Amino acid sequence: MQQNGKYGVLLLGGNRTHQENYALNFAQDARCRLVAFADEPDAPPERIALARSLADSLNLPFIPDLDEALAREDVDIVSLCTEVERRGRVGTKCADAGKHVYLDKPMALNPEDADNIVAAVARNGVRSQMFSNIHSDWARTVQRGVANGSIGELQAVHCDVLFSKGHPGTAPVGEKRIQKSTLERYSYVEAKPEMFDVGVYAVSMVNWLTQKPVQRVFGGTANYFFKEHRDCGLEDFGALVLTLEDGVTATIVGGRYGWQSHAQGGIRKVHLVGTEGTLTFDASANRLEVFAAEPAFEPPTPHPLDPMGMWSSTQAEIKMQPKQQWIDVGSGEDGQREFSAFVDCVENGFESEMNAEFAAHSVEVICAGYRSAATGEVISL
Amino acid sequence: MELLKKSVQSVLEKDRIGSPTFLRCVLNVVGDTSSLLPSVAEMTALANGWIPSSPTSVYAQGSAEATQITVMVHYTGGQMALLSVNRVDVETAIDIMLVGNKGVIYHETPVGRHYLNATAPELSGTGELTEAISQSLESGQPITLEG
Repeated sequence: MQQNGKYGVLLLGGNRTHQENYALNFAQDARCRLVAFADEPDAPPERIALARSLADSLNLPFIPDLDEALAREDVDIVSLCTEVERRGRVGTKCADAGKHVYLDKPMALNPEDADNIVAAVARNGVRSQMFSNIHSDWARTVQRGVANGSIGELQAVHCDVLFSKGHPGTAPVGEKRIQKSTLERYSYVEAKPEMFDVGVYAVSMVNWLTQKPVQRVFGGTANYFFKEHRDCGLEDFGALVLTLEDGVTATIVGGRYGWQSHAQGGIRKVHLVGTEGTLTFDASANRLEVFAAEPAFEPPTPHPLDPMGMWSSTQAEIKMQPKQQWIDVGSGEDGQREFSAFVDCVENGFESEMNAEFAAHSVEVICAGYRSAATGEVISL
Repeated sequence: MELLKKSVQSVLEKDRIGSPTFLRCVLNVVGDTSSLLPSVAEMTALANGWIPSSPTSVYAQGSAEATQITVMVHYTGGQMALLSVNRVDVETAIDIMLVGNKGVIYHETPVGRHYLNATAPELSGTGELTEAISQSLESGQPITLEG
């Protein structure tokens, strides 16, 4: 039970992880109190150093032994942003310690790791949630489009999520990517597997909107834009065709396509196709368009430790200027709503709409997508 | 459609988006046609015209006589296209995202109060890859195309 009327939050992962943002989101929830940072004693030294530096900047202690941190009674929630490769083991350990677990996306490297977390969450009766887009204004609007019945029976859903970051044009043109069936490493300084890292938003969105399990997966990955990804053996782009229960078709596009490829952070779009009509939802549609006598957006000089523009801290160091031509007409509270929703679940004892069990299906689908891209075959789940 | 093709071509010729790598196209076609296949073939022709290599495989989902068909095309140079054709009652419209290795072209047929500005896509009868698309719809499997 929480102390002083607040849920204690233990933070795993430091600078150059999404904990830079998540810690602040938890801190903004009046029901939460940040307790400390921690990590496994044998975590990579550079990760420990990055966790210590973020802890210092937030005036929080760093506990070098994760077991010790998890034994504390003033810890109720763990915000887990370790490298993806360690999330299966660490997430399982946190749930087995009886802590509610907030999981960065994707929740695990492979279905086996995801299943371990799901099992630990179930046997300990704790709450869990993976970061996703589903609490955004955009996603809720799409959900209403599905629910209100105006398009009749859903036949297809198409979801694109792309990040307009990175300096494109450095990968060889016309070179067909050779995809491996399994992903062995996720975390690099300069790149991530983007069909997983960004595509997980689109896949989890499709899963959540339809509430129908994916039965078959066909897809492809590519190195269209960035030398960095190609040199790491990772894709910068991926596309999947999914067959859902009841024969519904879904497609997703996920990737990173360059700083100047979109007037905001990248396209986020859903097409719903029903027996009675179609609907299109663009997350940037409700906007101001500002044209002014001011300098146009200039892509930043790449940060040597973050050339793809992944992290808030590194972008602040290079004084990254925001894109200002399209301005959202919205509450700007999508991020906070995501975290409040999880604390609501903890407080009221109900399951998150994107709990570990639900989110694990996204991991399963994307990993099947890699197998399909490697073999050219349709993969049945 | 010819006007749209011409506009896109003018951007491609100036190399503004670099080499086309991926096409996402969603076409809503007014449903007085018995089969969606000719429209799917037209979208496939559009993709094949913009992507600078040859198609190697086609994978299709849906039904030519029902609401929608979705096609994924792979190309020899690693490029891809995701093409969806949907039967609708209201108006024919198209949504395109043509991704190049250095930029993107977006286009949507104007809707709502901008409707009168629209140039609705007019489809011709190219029949591009129709046989392979039909085979994939029937078998549920990707169809490899011969060089």
